[in-house]
Amino acid sequence: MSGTATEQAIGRPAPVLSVDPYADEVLLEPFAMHDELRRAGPVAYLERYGVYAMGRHRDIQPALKDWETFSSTGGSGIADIRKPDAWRPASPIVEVDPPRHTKVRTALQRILSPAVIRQWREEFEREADRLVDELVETGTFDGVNDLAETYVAKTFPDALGLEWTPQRRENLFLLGELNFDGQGPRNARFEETQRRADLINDWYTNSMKRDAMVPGGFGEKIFKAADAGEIEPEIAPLLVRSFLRGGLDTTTSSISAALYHLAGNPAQFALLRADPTKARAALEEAMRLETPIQTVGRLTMRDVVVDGTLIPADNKVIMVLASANRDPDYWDRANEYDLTRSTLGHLALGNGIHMCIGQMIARLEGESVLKAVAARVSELSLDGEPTRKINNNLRSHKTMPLRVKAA
Amino acid sequence: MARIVFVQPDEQVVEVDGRIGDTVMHTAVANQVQGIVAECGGSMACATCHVYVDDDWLGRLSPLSPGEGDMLDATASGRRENSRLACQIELTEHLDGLRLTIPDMQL
Repeated sequence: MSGTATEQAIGRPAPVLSVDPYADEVLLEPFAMHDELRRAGPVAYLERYGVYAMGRHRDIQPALKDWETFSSTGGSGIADIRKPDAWRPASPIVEVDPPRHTKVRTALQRILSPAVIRQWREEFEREADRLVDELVETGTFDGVNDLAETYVAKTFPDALGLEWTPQRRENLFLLGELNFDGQGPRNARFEETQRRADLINDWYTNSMKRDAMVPGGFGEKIFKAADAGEIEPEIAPLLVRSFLRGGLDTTTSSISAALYHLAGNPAQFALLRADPTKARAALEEAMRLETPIQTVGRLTMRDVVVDGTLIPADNKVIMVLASANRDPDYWDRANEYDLTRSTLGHLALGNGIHMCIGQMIARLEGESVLKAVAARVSELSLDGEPTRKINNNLRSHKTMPLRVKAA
Repeated sequence: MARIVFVQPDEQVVEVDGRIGDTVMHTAVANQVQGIVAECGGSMACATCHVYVDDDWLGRLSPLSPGEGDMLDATASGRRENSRLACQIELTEHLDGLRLTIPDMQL
């Protein structure tokens, strides 16, 4: 019947879910929500926020590649930043699509090319070895504060070329917190973070300026790319801003998660000890299970039917990367930490043209730390219950007491 | 199906069959061909699926895009005239028998 055919072409309406992905208990333990979302089908409508959501790997991966349908121009979070009530300027890299995106991405890709990052390796490894040596000496330490955060808060802003000040570390983590709370709804959690961030606004504004960049860092290279006409001069500080806001918490979360899984799985830690080249696998698998950036927002540029379900044009869609990364239809033993599995296809860094531009720095940092731990620690275990931070979109540990035996 | 012949840096030869429409990178990773790292999963952001294309086949590939050219400037093993990224080579019937050499280093 033609009526049926038409209906099929149009697609079913999405099932409506009442779950609140931003409730404290869901952010702490999101797995039941992921399960509900995947069971609802390819797409669900979150009535509380008036947005669509996708949770299955098979739907999210192609959607991330299809920027013409699932655009980033409506913002990386839940709000449609083009609308008057939520308007804010878009990030010139994360929240634009081709052709504007291509020019900026190309320039940044050149600045952060594999060849450039290889030159940093020695220094990043030296710093990881130094820090892990120091911590192993103490026998017990906090995996988040003492190791992951201390390491990332030194290496990343140094590579960017942001001058050290006593407030640098604390301020950068606050900016990250604000960035990722801001990708969720304007709830009390966001408002509270915004209030604290308002106090460092002068520091923040100055830190993205050209004269804040120490010569030799990649921040300076961004401004030089503007001098060379590769990017518009006014977007150079905004690109630096993106690194200030997005470069620390994500990597810290991945490293902390790797330490957590290795501490809880002696057999997996033994695999890493036996073959330190598995440090990369140890990091990737932690990224998959943790998925620091839990979701990314897209905007439908047309009516689109995803596996039979309709999302009308001009709607925000929340792609729940964390759900795709544990989707049992895609992953064998989805919840198990396994250094021997192929993690190709994990979506923790996104996919397609907007895939994390800093991914090679993140991998260098994570690999350096995990290699240093594998070489210097013979036994790694939890020395108490870890705790979690609660953020609207960034999943990470807050504390992680670790006990180590020197190798 | 299209057969792809990978020559490892030690000259060992690995042959795999790929589906038409898949990329060489995906086919290699699916068949666990050593030396195709493909960290970014085909987003042209990591230059770790670098291959040297056998001269007989070079002219049959689709031309290099500017983005791919930029990434090839940053590979771990030196770029040559016949360097390509395996994630940018889509298999067609015409590529049945494609012969590629894997470089010494990808990272």
